[in-house]
Amino acid sequence: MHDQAPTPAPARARRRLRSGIVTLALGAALFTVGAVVLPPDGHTTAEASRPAPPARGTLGALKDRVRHVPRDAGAWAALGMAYVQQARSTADPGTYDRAEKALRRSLTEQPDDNTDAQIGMGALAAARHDFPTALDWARQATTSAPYNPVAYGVLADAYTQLGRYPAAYRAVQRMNDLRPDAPALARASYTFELRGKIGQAVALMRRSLNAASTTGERSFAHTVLSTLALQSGDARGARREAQAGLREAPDDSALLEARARAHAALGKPSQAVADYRAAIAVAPLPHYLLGLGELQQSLGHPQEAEAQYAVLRGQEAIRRSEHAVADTDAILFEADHGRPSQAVTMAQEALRTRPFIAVHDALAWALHRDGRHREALGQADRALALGTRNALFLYHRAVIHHSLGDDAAARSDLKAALSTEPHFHPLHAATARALLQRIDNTP
Amino acid sequence: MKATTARRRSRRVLDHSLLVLGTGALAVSVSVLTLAPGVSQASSHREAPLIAGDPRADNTDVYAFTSPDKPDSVTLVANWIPFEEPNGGPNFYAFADDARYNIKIDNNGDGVSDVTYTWRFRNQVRDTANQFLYNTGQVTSLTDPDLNFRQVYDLVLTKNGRSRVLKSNVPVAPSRVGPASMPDYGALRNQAVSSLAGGGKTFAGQADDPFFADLRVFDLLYGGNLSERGQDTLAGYNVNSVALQIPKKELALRGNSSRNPVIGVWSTTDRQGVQVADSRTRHDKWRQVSRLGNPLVNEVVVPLKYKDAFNTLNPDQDRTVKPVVDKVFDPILPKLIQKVYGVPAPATPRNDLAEIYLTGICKACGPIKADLNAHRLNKDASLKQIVPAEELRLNMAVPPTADPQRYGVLAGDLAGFPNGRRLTDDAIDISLQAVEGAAQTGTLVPALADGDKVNTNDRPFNTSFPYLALPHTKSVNSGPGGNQAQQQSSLRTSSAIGAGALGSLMLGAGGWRLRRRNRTS
Repeated sequence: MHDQAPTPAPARARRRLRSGIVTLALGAALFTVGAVVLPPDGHTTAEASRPAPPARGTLGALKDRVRHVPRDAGAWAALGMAYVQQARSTADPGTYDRAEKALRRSLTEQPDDNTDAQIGMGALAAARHDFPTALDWARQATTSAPYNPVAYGVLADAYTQLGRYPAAYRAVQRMNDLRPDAPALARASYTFELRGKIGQAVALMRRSLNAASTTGERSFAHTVLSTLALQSGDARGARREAQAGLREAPDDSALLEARARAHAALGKPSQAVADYRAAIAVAPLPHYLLGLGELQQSLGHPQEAEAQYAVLRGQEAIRRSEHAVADTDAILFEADHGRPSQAVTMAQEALRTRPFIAVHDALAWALHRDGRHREALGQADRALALGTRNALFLYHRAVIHHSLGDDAAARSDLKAALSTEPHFHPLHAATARALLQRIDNTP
Repeated sequence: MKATTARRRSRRVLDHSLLVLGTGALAVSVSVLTLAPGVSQASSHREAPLIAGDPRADNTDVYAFTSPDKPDSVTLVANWIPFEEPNGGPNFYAFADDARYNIKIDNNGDGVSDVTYTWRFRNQVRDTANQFLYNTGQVTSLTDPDLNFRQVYDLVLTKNGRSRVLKSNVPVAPSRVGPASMPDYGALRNQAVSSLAGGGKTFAGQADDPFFADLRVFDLLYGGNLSERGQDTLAGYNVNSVALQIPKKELALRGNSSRNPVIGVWSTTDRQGVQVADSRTRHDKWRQVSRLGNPLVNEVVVPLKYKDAFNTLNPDQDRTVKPVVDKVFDPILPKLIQKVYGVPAPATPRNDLAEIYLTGICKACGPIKADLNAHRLNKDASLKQIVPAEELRLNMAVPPTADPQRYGVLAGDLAGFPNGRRLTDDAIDISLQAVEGAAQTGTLVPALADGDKVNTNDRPFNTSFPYLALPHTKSVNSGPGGNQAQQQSSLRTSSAIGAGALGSLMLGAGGWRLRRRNRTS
C-alpha cells in the first residue's frame, strides 16, 4: 500500500457563510457559457455532462425559467428555439417575433460565443425564408463552435436553399461525422433525395426514424418516408407510413397531409378530403389549402375548391401588404389560378434570395403560363439539374417542351413523371396522361 | 416591425379582400384572420428537426470500484438516458439498437483502450401485429410471453485488436412498468444478471439513477433562490445501466493486478456514420458521439466550447486540444468562487487538478503527496508511453472500505473518488473541494463543506452486483392529473390481467404502448 492520502477533519464548524457558495460556483461553470439546448420534446438540457431536469411543458417551463432566472442566456436561447419550433408547426407568425425577442435577449446577456442563440437566429431566419441571413448566423455558429453538429445543420439548410449544393453536402457530411443522430441522418437522406437516389434516401430516413428520440423527430421521419413511398408509386406504403406516425401524433398536420395524398392516390377522395380538412384545422398552411382546393376541383366541387382558393388569396393579400417573399405554393397558385405575369414577378423576386430548385421550377411554370416558353425551359432544366425525381417538376418541363414543339423530350419527361408518381397531382396527372396519349397517337 | 400596426394593416387588407371575395370567403375568414404575415412562408422548404438531444447515446455517469463483496473483482457501471420518468404514462425506455455502448480500460497509460467491452442491443417483438404493446399481461419472468417487447444484447470483448463475443442473446431487464404488471421486479432484475466464463458477471437494464445532487443550485449564478437547496433533483428518476463485474487480472496490464494495479476507465457510445458524397475518405465507419470518464468533467475541466469536441476524442488525443489542457491548469471555477464569495482561488498552474484528471495521483506526478492511482505506479508500464489523458483511474490494490465516506479520498477513504468512483461517492462535493485545492492542502475548505446539501442517494444501494437500486415506479412529476392517469393505467393493467384475452383487446385500445414519449407532457 502507498502512503496515506491526507485526512482532513470533517468540517463540522458550521461557519455559516452565505449559503450555497459552492454550488453556485459550480453553477457558474456550468452556465457561464449558458448553453441550454431544447430538444423538440421540450427538455432543457444544460450542455454539460448532465441535463437539467425535464419540465412540465416546453414553453411554459422555459418561460418560468427566464422569469425566475432572467440572466440565464442559455434559457433565453432555448426559449427562442422553442418558439421557432412552435412557429414551424402552428404557422402562427406572431411566434416568430417572440422567438426573435428571446434570442436577442440571450445575445444581450451573452454576446460572445453564444452558439445556441446563433443557431436559434439561423433557424429563425430560415423559417422566415431569409436564407442569406440564415447563412450568416450559421457561419457565426460554426465559427464559435466548430464541433457542434447542430450548427452544421443550420449551415446545411441555408446552403441548400441558396442553391449551393456541394457546400450543403459538405456541411451535412460534417454534421454526420460529428454525430449521426436523427436530425443529421434526416439531412443526409435529403441530400440523396435531391439527387434522385430514392433507395439511399429511404434507407437513411429509416435510420433517422430508428435513431429518433422524440415524437417530433419520429413524426417528421414518418412524413418523409410516406412522401418517398408516394414518389416511388407505392401509395399503400405511403398510407401505412403516415398511419404509423399518426398513431403517435394524431394531430400532426404534416402527417395528415401525407395520408391525404396517399388516400387520393389510392382512389379514396372522401378520406383524402377529411384528412386535408383535419390538417388545415391544425395549421392552414398554403400547400394544404392548395392540395385540398385542387383535389376538390378535380372531384367537380368548384365551390369547395373556391373556398380554399379564397383563403389562399387572403394569405396572398396579407403577404403583399407585408412585402414578404412568396413561397413556391403561392407562385404556383398564382400561375394556375391567378395572373401568370404576377406569378413571374413573384418567382423572380423569390429567386433572388432563394435560388433553390423548387423556386426555379415555380418560375419555369409561371413563365410558361405567361407564354414565355423559351425562358421557362432554362428554368425547368435548372430545377431538374440535380437529377431530382420530382414528378411535378418533370411534368412542368414536359409541358414546356411540348409548347416549344419538342414532343420527343416532352414524351420522355411525361413518362418519367408518371412512372415516378402516377398520381402526382389531382389535376395535372390526368392532363399528363392525356398529353402522353396525344403525343403517342401523333403520327 | 411593429406588430400591432402590421396587424391592423393586414386586417384592413383582409377586410378589403373579403369584400372583394364575397361570402365564399366568409366561411374561412376566421382562419385567415389567424394568419398574419409569416404563414405564407411557413411551408414548402424541408425543415427537418434540428435539436433533438440523443439521450440514448449520451453517457451520464461512470463508476469503477473494487467489488465490496468480491474483492478479487472490479465492478464497472455506466449509465445512459437520464431523467426517465417512471410510469410516465405509459412510458418505456430502451437502449438504442443502432448504437454501440462501450466501457473502455486503459491499463498502460497511453490513452488508448487495451480492453473494451461492447454491448450491442437488439429488439425482439413477440407479436408484431401489436408491436406498440409493451406487455400484454402480468410479467413474471424475462421469458414471459406477456412481455411483448424485449431487448437482448451481445457482449463483445476487444483486446489487442481482436474482438470476440463473450456472450450472446443476454436478456435486458425491462423498464419497470408498475406493480400490477410486474409484481416482483426484483426477480426480473436477478434474471438479467448473467455469468461470464472466467468468473465475471454482466447486467443491462433499468435502474434508479444513482447520481445524487441538487441541480437547481446551478441557477444561483443568475440570482436564483437558494432557500430550497438540499433537494435531490434526480430523486425518483431512472436510468438505463450496463454493469460488469470482472476479475482484476482480466483488466490489469499483463494480467498481473498486484504488479500493475492501476486502470483508467471511461465509457463511450458510437453511432454508425454516413457517406454523403463520393470521396476517398470513408465516412461510414462507427463514430464516437459521447464519452465520459470522471464525473462533472464538463463542469470542472472541459470548457463548454469544447464539449462537442471532447465527446468525439479518444483520451490519447486530449493533450492535443490545448484549450482543454490549459483549463485544467487554470480553471474558471475557483476564480468565480473567489469573485462571488471571496474564497481565495488556489495559485495556478493547478498541477493538483492535472493529477486528478489527467495523470492520476502519485508523488512523482505532482504536488499531491501520495501514490494513489497514476499509471506510473504500474511496474510494467513504460514511462515513455504514458500521456496525460482524462480517464477515471482506479487503483485495484486499494481494498474496499467497510464504511465508505461520501468524501472519498478527501476524507481519508482511499477506496473512493477520485480513486475510481463508488455509487455512494458525493461527486459534486468532492469535485468542488478538489477544485478549491483540498487534495493538495489536505484540508477541506470549510466554506464549501455544506456543498449542495444532498449527501446520499434517495434510496439505498444493493449489497451485491449490480449494486444499483431497483427502478422507481412512482411518477416524479405527477400533478393531480398525473396521479389520476397513473391510477387509470394501473387499473387498465390489472383488469387486463384479470380478463385475459379480453384484457389484451382493451390494452390494444390504448393501454400499454411501447413508446418513448415526451416525458414532460
